[in-house]
Amino acid sequence: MIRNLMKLGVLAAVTGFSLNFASQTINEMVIAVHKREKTIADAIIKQQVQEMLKEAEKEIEKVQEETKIEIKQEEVAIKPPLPQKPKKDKPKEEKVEEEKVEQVEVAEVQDEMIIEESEQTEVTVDGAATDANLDMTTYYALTKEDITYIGEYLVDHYFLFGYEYYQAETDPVRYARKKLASDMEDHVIGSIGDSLTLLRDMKSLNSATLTPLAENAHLLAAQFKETYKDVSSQGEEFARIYESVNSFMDTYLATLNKAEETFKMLEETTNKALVLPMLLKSMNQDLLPSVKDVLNEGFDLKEQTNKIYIEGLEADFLITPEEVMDIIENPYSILPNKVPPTTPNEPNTVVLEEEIQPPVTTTSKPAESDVLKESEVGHATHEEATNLQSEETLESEGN
Amino acid sequence: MVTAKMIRYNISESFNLVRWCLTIIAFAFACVVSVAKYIQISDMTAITFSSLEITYLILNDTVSIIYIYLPLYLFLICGIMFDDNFGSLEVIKCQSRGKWLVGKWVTLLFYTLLFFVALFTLNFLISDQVFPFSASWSSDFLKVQVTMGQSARNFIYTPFQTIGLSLGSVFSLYLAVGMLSMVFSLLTHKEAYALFLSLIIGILTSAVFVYVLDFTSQMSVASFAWRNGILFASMVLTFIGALWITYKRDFNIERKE
Repeated sequence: MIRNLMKLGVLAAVTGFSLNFASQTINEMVIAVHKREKTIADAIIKQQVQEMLKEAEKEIEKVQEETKIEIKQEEVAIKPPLPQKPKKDKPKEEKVEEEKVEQVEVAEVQDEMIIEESEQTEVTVDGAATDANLDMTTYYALTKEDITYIGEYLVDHYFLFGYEYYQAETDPVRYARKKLASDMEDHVIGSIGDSLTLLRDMKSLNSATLTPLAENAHLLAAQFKETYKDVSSQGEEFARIYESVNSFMDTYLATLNKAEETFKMLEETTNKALVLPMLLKSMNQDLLPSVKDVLNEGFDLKEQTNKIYIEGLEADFLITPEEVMDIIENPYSILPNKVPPTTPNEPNTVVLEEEIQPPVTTTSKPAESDVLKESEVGHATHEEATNLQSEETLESEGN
Repeated sequence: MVTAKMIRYNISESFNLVRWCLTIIAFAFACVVSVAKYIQISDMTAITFSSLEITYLILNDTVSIIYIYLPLYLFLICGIMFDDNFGSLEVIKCQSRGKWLVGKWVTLLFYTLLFFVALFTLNFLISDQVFPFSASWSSDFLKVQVTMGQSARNFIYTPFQTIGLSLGSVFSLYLAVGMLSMVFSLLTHKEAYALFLSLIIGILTSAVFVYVLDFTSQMSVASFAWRNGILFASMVLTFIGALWITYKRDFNIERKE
């Protein structure tokens, strides 16, 4: 009897310890979740999930109407984390705080040094997309015309269309250089065009749709390597473009392969209830960082080709990759007669679609930002540059 | 009739503290891993379930049922049929081989119940720390299940009814496999062989139920009923087989091996 009681006591102790340990581990995870800053990826995923579940909602309502039985439902949310016990080691805390203060000071000094260095050298494109902190609520209020305006603005000031520049070029040497750069860039545009179409509808994504995409990209990458392997004879800048395109294609193909593997894994999973959450988790953890790498490679390539397109032109209208991301983060900075929505934009929360207020349109113009001023000047300078070229053309034809 | 005293003796003799401690630790570990997964899902997709639904999903996961909990269960119960050298005396005390076997079966039933109570309680307590309890279906769970192919009509029943039936099915499956383990113990006379054989047969049987008969997929009462019916019939046949072996067996004084 005593022996059995002792056994039960030991078992109870082990159970209590296991529960306690599990509870602490879970609590730390919940704390980490509450502290995590929401990103644009979370908003996109949430929106896509809500759209996918809308069809299920309709079916549920239909069944309720047919059976005339109400299926009771309840909205639930994760509980807040349990309060943690305060630490007793105060002297250690003070030391930690002092170290943190010192580290922050050192980091600030280093940041200043980095800023100074970057001002002296060329603007680098590394991390232009990586550090982007986008908010979906900004885009809910944009109309199609707004998005078209923004797109045209970005094409005029950064994503220069090579065809327009070499067509407008009169000098034969510059014409050949610009055409070559444009032809090289077209391989990249050809490979990513289908991807952009697929991304508009995530539901259609699966390994079957991605496979032909990857094969096409492989083909284009191989064709590019073969066609332009001797392009370095045209100049060092073309050698750099060649390297950039190859680097872009490698990163892009790696991303497509990751996506294919993800979808294959999901298609083989036995627990179908977890397919959607696993897909979205994998996209957030593995694919979106890779997509940002692709964007960064894209910026790097664009910098190389833009240098060639603007040869012989005043390039004041050109903006930097950071400014491109700034515009994407805050499109209202360039939209005329538009103000951002009045809904408060908290950094750690995602505003639901239903909560967004329609934009308030006013008759008076908003305060002009520096970017807006630059865009007006840049746009005018760009137009003057093209007019200057056309005037030169007319003069040369007259002569 | 089998006396309570004999059953109590069976339970206390076959209770292995080390095995139960390891099982509890394994439960806690598996539960933390599973709940962490659902916390991540909730964080990234804003899909949140209630604690009861999380427990149901954990205990209804095919991989867990076949490869984690079933081996643990067999590991726990494989020693029931083996006694120390008083085994044959126990048969004499029961005055009947049949009563002896029934006593063993009741012990098996007790341990299976205890196993599931511990499994459910641990998982529910840990899930309830993070996810709220609700007596109704959570809207997200409903929509996700319907999206994944469940009929919306299956949710006319309350969570307790549906989830209880599902757990009951898993319980029946495990009990049926446990009874097979009893038969192997009677045939092989060795705990290690019995465990090994019952593990293979148990995994194969579970795999058939899960993948061929879609054991964990449909939540309707009708599908639960016919699956449990198959399991009940198999249990009856197994018991009859075990009884036949028991009456044919020579009970010698033997140690646990």
